[in-house]
Amino acid sequence: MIRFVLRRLIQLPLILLLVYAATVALLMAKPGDPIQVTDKTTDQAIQARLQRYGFDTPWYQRYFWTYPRQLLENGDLPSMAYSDWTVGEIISQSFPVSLQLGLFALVVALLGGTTIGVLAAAFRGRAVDHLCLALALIGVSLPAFIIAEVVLILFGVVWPILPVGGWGSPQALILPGTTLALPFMAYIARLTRASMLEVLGADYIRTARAKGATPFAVIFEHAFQNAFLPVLGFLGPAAAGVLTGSFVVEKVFAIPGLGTHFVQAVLNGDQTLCLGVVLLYSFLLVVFNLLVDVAYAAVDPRIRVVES
Amino acid sequence: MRRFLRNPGARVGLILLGLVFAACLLTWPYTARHYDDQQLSRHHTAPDLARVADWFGTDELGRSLLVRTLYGGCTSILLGILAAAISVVIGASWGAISGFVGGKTDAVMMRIVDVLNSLPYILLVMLFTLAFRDRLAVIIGAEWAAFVVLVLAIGSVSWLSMARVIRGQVLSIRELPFVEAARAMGLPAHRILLRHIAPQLVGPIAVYATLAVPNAILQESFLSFLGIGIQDPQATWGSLAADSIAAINTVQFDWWLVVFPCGALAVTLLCLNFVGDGLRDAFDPKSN
Repeated sequence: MIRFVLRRLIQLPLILLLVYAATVALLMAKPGDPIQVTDKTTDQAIQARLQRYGFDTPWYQRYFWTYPRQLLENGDLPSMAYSDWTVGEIISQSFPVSLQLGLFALVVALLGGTTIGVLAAAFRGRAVDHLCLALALIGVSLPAFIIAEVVLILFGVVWPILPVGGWGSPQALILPGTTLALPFMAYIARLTRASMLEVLGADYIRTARAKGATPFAVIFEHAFQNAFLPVLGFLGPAAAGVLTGSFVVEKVFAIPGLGTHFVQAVLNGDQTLCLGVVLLYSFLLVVFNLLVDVAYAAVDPRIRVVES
Repeated sequence: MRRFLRNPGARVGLILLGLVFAACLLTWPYTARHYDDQQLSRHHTAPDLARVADWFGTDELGRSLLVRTLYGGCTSILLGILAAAISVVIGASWGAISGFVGGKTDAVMMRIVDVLNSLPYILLVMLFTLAFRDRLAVIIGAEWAAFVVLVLAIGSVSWLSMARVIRGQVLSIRELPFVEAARAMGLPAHRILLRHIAPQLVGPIAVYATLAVPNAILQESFLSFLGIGIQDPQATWGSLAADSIAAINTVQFDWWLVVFPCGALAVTLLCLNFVGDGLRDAFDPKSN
């Protein structure tokens, strides 16, 4: 187990380096002037900008020497589109917002999805099951922004009981967080239902029922732990999905999160901000996936035996 | 096929899908030429059953939303199918080769898939789209450049899960006696793969291809929504939905701008998912 974790931790900087190189390649492939010179810019200003962003050096020096050195010295890189701000400042302001949104969405998706899935499996074939399945299918098929727009219309125009925009109060978290969670809640519901049905057909469940366990005990004490494994495995891709989904939700609900900044950075050609955000998200995802894999191995003893 | 048609959801989905496809494709010769016809005096008009062009209302430039929705449908559907095809081809080949060869090559190939799975792939896709769209536009024109780049970008996102599924299938097929017989006869590896194993894979490939199309359309609408995909005046359902957000306000709510593109997108995606689920249940030997 320790060796497994260590191996993955050693791979982390390699993966980050790979992502960095890929991002650099794509950024350099984009045509256009990154320094954004107009005919009003003085020669001094051009020189100052070139120096500030490292564009007076060749590309291999800039991306693999100047930027890392600047990072190590100042802990920060200047943003190319917003000249008053550094990348670190932008990230430290907007990332906590996105983090709160993402974590809320994941928790809601997990709780809601497993509940719906267990209900559907427990009452298989009845009305509850069909309703849950229909809701799950709708949640999986519809793109996040359609759900977001519907929510916007419902709670913004028709029935304004919750804030549909901005940030600051805890109520502002509810609508965007739930909207972000819905597709994943639907997928987790389907996954839980299928997994529960498989587990409920197993012999040991039959034994428990024969011994007279109540249906509640059968589900929650015996079946659910085993049925939960695929859901745990899904958490990794779910985190990645929540991350990308947050771009849309932040745009629709006007939330000052990191997603909006990244999209703007990509459209503006702000190379340093792009690099910073991509590295941050990659780091987060790899660490999150590692945690999920460790949890999976901790919960399921069979995995531990196979690994060693 | 008969089991598939017995599933009521799949039947309805197939029929609706056929209607939507037919509507978009048959009107394409007209919509391709008129999707940008502006009539500024008739902007923001509500749906009006009197004129055909006004059945869905008009947008802020007086363009008929019906024409734009149908045109956007063509673009979205074509994009979805092409991108799904690319991801199926890449994913199936990767998975089949990895599963068949086995050993270290398999471990390496699957490790690559795992690593790519854990990356914020979509960020790189966005950068990829913007990097190559303008370059390609110089060669083949702006609209086609955006289209081609989007197809490549979306196709390169979705091949990962297909690779994993196909690898699993190949691993189990590899142990079957007829493969062993083929190997004993001395057939070269690529022949075994192509002529003997591949036909067994048609089932899972068909199912996942059908489920990959709505995924691709979803990705495309996501990118268009963020402004990185197809640009105005071209339309896809995603870009139409993005434009319609501005219409949601409490002063003058132009509901038709939201309802029709989003509705068309939702109906198509739901039907594709129904059909895909139906196919999967029809091929699954475990379900009755």
